[in-house]
Amino acid sequence: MSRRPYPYPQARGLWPRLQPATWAWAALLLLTLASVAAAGHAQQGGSRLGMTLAVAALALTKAWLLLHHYLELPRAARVFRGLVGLFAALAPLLLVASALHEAWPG
Amino acid sequence: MTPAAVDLPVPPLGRAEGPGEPQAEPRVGRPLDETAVAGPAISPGHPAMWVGICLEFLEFAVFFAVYATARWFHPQAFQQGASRLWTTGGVAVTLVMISSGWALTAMLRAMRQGRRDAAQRWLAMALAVGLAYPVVKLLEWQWNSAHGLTAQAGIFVVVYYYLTINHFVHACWGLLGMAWGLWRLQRGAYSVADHRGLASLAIYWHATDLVWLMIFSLFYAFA
Repeated sequence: MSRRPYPYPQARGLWPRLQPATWAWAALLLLTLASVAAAGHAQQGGSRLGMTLAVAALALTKAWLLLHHYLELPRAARVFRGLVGLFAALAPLLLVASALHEAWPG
Repeated sequence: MTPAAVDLPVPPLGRAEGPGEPQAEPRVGRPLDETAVAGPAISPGHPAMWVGICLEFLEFAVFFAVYATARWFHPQAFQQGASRLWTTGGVAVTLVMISSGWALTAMLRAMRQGRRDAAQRWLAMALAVGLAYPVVKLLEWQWNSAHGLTAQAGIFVVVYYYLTINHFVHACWGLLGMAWGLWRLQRGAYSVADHRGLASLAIYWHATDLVWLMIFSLFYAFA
């Protein structure tokens, strides 16, 4: 499977002048609001485990957007790509582990 | 892709390009795809800044481990504690961080295209937006104080302050860096061929932004 070229091409279509970073900014904002909405759902009786998993997935997605469109991580050296990617996955993984522990203690 | 959007090559670090010296290979990094229309495979910014942000990540990885350990042994405190936080403040800081970071990406793009004036305006905008961070934090601390969220309010609040104050300190370094970069840019420093200082600044701010997104997920998203 071939990888996507980087830097990602400028978005085309309805708003051809917008840069990928602008789309990433809008997506980051929407995903942040989605995180809060997911928490609100849990407060109203939804599954806390499901909410935590959703928040972890949203955090990972936001990290991916930021690393690719803001930080230009694909252009960094391999060692930095690995270390930064590891850190980006850490908090979501800790959230998932905590949620599983709280759902099934012991 | 327009030609203007292609990144220009950056001379290698620490080596003078004398008349008799062979052209050095690009330093690090590589394009993701052989057919990519990307510019030269050169890491943005100084390699030292990449080392620096990895150390910053290591520091916050320790903090996150503290969070996970505390939450493991006090799950109730963390389940109930999040609802006591000022969610609007957390969302506002997120908006500030990602908007300021977006302005920095525009600043770098303008710099790579040789539009110094535009780069200066974008950097000034990034700084102006970023300065809202300490303002929101001040409001948040006042809100916390009014709602009894002091260091004596339990382990959740202690861990919350531990992480968010540390992040605040890192963000202040970034703001000072932006002010320094703007001051230098206004005085003719940096060029299309060498603006690694500005790229390093952007890398630092984006790294601090990433840390905030994680902190937001650990604390505010559950409020």
